[in-house]
Amino acid sequence: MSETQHDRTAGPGAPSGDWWNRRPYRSTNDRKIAGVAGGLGRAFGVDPVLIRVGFVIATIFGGFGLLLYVLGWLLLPADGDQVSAAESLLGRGRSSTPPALAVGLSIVAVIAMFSMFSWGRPFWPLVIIGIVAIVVARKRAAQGGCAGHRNQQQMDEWAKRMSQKGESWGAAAEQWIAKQPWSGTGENERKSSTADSPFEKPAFWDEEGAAPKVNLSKNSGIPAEPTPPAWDPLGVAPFAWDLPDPAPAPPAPPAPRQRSMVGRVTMGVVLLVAGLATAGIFAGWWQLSWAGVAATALAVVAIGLLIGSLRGRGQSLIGPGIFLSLVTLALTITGIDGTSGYGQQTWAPTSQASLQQEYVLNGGQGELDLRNLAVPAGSTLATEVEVRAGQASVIVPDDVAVNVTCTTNAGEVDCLGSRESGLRQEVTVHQPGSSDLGTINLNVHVGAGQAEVRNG
Amino acid sequence: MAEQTRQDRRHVSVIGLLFSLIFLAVASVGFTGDPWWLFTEATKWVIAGLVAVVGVILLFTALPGRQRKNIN
Repeated sequence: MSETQHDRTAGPGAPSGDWWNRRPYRSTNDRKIAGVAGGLGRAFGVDPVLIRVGFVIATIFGGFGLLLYVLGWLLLPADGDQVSAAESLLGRGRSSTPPALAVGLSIVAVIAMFSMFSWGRPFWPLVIIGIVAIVVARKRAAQGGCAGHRNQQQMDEWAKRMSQKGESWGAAAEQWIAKQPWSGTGENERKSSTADSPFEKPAFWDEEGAAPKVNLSKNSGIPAEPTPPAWDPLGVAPFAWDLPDPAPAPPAPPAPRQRSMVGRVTMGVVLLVAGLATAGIFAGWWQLSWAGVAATALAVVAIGLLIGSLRGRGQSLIGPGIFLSLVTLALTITGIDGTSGYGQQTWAPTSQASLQQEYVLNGGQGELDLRNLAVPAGSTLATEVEVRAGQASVIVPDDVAVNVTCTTNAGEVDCLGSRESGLRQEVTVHQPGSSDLGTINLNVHVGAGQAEVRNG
Repeated sequence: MAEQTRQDRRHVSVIGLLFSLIFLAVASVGFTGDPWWLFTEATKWVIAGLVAVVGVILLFTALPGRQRKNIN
């Protein structure tokens, strides 16, 4: 696709209509990585270097620039592409970005979003705003018609204008022909015979019976008349033959793919199952983890995709399946369960009786303070702290023997100075204590986040 | 007429089949609640399942009816 085409179809200067179809294109000429900055600079008339600097600064201060760039890579089509990489994953057209790279970028985007936004208040407004924006955009697209319909309207208007011009050219040509002496029309003959002349009789070559001296009907060496162009097959507008041919009509867009019935039925069942499972959790009908809810919806998508694939259809379910897979994995890693146990919590037991066997927090920050816990000599106290998403912090006294094991599915472990980070980390540390005091056996588990045990 | 019907018949989507199997595997992870289930307890089942799937495909494509259809 050429630069000229993009200037006409993309960017803020493009004609009004569906904003999604007027997205800037990623530049293939001015690119350092994927051409996002080059395409944005071209569309908005800004130096791409400034946009690149903005991406770098935003990446350094918070990482938001990386997320934006990856989203631009996923959602903006490149020069020459039919659709963006994300849309190509959904089977809506061709993109130069390989599917494997697009899936990788999607994972990077999700990880960046998860690392940037907490599960608390700032996250859900963004989700709600995104859903509302998508719904509004789809409604506008439905009202404004699809791109193919708009192109058809433009072609109709062009044809109407051309028809009007043709009629006016035809009328002008008829008038011009009628004025010519060779036209042979009655009006012309009458005009020529009645025209005022300074001579008493017509010239000898116009007299009746005068034989023509030159036979014009034969090939006499006079150059032949120019042939009319294709747009004037009747040759009625010779005065316009030297005009350039009209630009060819824009190519008709490919016919939209018919939506698969398997995909629609599957998505309907997915929504029903997910809604029923969620309602059951809130109503207390069953004890199902949120990972189980997502896995149920994903299983329905997988079965629908399996049935559709055997019939050569249903590929529109791949996109929702990837999304549900990421959600399922994230919820499985955290292990979030139930509807309570979120926020900041501090526990400070002082006696063996008040020490619970387990302290659990679904999401947020949990702190267990054992500094004031009485540990009699010869006794062994055991407890566990589990924070499924967030930070677990335990403060132990210096003079008590402690056997502590810190585990995390994804995140960082800082267990009495022993630090590890990454996936599936486990650190076991023993702290010797005074013989006058007992022993504390402690297990700290964080699904996704940070587990910390320190002396106080 | 039969030729036309055969041409109109859609082919099986291999990509769709592959993704559906991946999604089922990820769903099993969600049902167990153990993120590492696929790489620990389920490893032997995954390998056995893949071998079985390949065997079923070989058997299916070797059926006499499908061979005759391919020749035609």
